[in-house]
Amino acid sequence: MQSRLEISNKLKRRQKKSLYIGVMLSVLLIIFILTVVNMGRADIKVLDILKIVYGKLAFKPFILENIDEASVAIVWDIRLPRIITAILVGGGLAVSGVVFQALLMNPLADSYTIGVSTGAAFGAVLAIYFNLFVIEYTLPIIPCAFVGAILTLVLVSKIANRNGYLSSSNLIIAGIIVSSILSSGISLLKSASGEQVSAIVYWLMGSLSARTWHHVLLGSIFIIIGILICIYFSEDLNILCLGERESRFLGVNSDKIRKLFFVIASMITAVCVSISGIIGFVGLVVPHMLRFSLTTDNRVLIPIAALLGGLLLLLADTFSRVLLNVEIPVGVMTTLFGGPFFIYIFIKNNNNIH
Amino acid sequence: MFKINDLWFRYDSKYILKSINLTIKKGSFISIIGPNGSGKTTLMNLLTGNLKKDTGEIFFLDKLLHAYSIETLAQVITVIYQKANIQFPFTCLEIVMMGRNPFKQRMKPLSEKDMEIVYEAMEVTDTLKFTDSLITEISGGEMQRVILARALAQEPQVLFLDEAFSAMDIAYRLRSLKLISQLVKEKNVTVISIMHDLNMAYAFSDEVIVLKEGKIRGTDCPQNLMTASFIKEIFDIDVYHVKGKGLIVMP
Repeated sequence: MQSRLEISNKLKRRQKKSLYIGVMLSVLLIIFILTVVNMGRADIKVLDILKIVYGKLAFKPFILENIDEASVAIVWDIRLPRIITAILVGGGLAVSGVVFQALLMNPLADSYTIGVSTGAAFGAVLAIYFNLFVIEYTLPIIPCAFVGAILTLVLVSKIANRNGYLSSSNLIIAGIIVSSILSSGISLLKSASGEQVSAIVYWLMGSLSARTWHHVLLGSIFIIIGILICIYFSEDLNILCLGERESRFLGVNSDKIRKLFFVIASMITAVCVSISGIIGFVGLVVPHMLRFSLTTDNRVLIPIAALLGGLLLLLADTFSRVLLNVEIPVGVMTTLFGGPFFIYIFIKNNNNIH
Repeated sequence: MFKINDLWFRYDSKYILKSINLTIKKGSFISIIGPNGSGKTTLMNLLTGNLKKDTGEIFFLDKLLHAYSIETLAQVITVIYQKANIQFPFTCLEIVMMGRNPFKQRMKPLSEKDMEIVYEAMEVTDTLKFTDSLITEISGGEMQRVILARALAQEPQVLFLDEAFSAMDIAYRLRSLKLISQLVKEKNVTVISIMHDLNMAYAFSDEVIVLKEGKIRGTDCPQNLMTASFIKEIFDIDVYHVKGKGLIVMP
């Protein structure tokens, strides 16, 4: 039997452990960024890279004078935005995965299960199609994806809604229905675009190449604020994990909090999909790894998942960018590795249900 | 504590509850008994505010029940359901600590005093040994004890039990019922319980509410109400009284 002191000490130790892991992941992330920015076809000296980053961040252009312009452009305009975008998108996808899983009370749920990703993709593909064939000026892809995601969410919750109550199974079924319709819509647009189909296909595969500071800025505003809101309400999310009836008697207005989390997580997903196309399984693999190795307490899980998600997507993107001769879209990489993992979890979960 | 005036409730066109009038006093152990489909759970869901009534009025502490916010109600009322459907591997300690949620502020850790209450609740329910166990990996009866600990950590004034101890072995079920009656006597807690076990309902209740086909067929102390002939009329089963001790259901 444990004494009071032991229990409270253990709690403190566990808090410290989570803090250490957080700090460790942050340090790892920084080391990673500095390593990865040095990798690529163009050979640029480490010292030059540090100078470029420092000079740009500190607004001291004279530091850059001795370095040739191509190197500055490669590091500052190509590699760094891509790296930071990868981290933001990875973190965002991981956090929205955590949130959707808790809301649907299903460890296998994520942005895809309820159709939000497909909705965002449909919005974006529609914009690309219109830009190619219908109108003269350019429709912005990002807001269109955003609108697509939100409309899908509204539609899915309308279908799943019964007497003002959203049950998990209803929601997942509605998500499947809506996303299969939207997938057909995407296929239709692809067939209709004939020879120009590559623009859509490449976007859909999910890629982080050619990301600019514009993407970084957009991503950081929405994704970081979204994650912070999720962290602020994370203990309510813990209570929601116990069920709707139970949350009510633990003082959480489940309808209100669920809506809030649905909107925030969809927003994060929409921004991620707009920036990088469909990147699958990050939102599933990262939370799952953490739930079984560290904790399922969302107060710890959300921030750690954000860091680990960022780290993993950066790793996957670097792998697809540097190590192979042909550049593979990162969405293909994550699905190739994440898919089998999904199957593993699925079988393991099935074995646990008696 | 509760006062119900002429309450009616229906699903679609079928009335589940018909003209319910009821007063529930503070500090008593009340059991709702009746056959399946008699409206016990519906009545409880209406009293907890989980369902909205069709017609009639429910007062809680002299104020309409639906006028209370969820946050306020959670500081006074809690419910233990038969099944806790928890999909995520929280530790049992984390689960019991969530009982303090109605009293804590966001982003702040539980105070020493809160932790004291949590510890106490786990001690009396004999769940300290599960502190680090995952809620998804313990048995149904053990889980019900952990959930009971969470409810106790909430220090409710009104505790609803919906077959809350059904998966516990007989020793723990008795122990839990004794614990609850102690709360009623010492801390003036009001307990409203749905129980299928007539023996237990007879032994522990101060008052029994008998429901059948959506109507209240009687409310009184078990000694007066649960006579062999009345039970026969309601459940169509035979029971025997052991003088001064209780009631036995004979198969």
